[in-house]
Amino acid sequence: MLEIKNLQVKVAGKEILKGIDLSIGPGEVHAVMGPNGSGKTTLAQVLAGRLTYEVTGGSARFQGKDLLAMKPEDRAREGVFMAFQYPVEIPGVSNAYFLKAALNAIRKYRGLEEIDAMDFMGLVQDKAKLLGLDETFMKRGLNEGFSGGEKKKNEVFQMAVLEPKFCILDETDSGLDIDALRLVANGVNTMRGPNRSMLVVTHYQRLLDYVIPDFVHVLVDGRIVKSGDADLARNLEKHGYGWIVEEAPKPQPARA
Amino acid sequence: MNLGSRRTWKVPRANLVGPGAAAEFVGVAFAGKGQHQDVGAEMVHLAPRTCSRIANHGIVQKGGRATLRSGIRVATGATEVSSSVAWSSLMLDADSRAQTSPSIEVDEADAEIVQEGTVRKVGEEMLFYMSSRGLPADEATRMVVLGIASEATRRIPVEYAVEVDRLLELELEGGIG
Repeated sequence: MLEIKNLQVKVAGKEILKGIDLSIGPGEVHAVMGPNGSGKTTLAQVLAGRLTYEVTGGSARFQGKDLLAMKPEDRAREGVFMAFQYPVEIPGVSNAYFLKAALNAIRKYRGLEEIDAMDFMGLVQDKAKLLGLDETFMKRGLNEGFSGGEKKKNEVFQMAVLEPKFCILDETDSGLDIDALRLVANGVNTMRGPNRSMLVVTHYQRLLDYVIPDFVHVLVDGRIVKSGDADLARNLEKHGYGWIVEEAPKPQPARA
Repeated sequence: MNLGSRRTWKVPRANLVGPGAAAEFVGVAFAGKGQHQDVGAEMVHLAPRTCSRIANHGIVQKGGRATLRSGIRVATGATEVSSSVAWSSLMLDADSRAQTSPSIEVDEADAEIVQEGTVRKVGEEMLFYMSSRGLPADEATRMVVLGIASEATRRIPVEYAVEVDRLLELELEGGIG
């Protein structure tokens, strides 16, 4: 589904990703863990299409198409979705209005008819229940005055409505209390299926106790230094990142 | 609702004369190229237990300028007054300017006056968020602007609100002026 090869990215002139190789098959859930500043969020954002991030090398292909050449809205329409670490507030634009516009933009791109208001409300109510959101939620401004937990739930709610093929969760667990974490994890798990892949970016094991990944990758200083299964995440929780950083091969200085 | 014209200066005043009287002003000003919107309201509290609210929104693009004014005056004898002032500026690009000019003059110690303000940019982050859900930049900008204006448009009859939205869309496209 997603093939990343030697991906290198600069942010504000600074090299953040120094050659990422990652292959994600259909239905697989991959977790990317790593200490602060290792490049996890950069990886998530560059896949979603953040334009201020400069790709200096490598490639990313999504279902055979050149992902990096696409505008962010086209990536969304192709089926890429990122749940933001810090969702943005848009005052005066209701959740319902925004989500309907987004859903219809995606449907139109895929040659489907616009969803009518009744069907949309039905769809939304089903998905809202999944995350324990009440009806007033849809009428409120998009993320306007939402608590941290509500914002994160809203991200997963949008994901559930838009039904993407590839989901990126960027630290969706941060700022959630344990009940909210369970609801969000439940929402994510319900969406797991043979045709939908996920990239879960997180600091902690916490979310991965509920959303069990098929693969775990450890990102340190812009490189994946270790990959394994769900046990790797548990080891990290116990022993921290230190042992991996020491074990990892030091990058060879380039020859003059 | 203020749209168009090179320079607009509009600051209506409400005199709250009767005890318990209330007044509210909600304004949205849009300034495009070569335009300066200098708008707001004044509330003069002359009687006890009067309350007032000013909500003033400025949207600027293509070098346009907005000055958002508010004046609260609480006269002697006007006790237990409450008043709130909120303003927000939305900058659609870096060439535009928005400023505020608030004034408060209070002669009674028990008055409750609240002021708050925000400046927002339809910045890269906002557009990235919306585009990552499948919406193109022009559609996203339109949505943000109409969202800001909705505090005013949702209070007026729907026929008129639709017209205002359409005018804002034309302004955004550069269809007027």
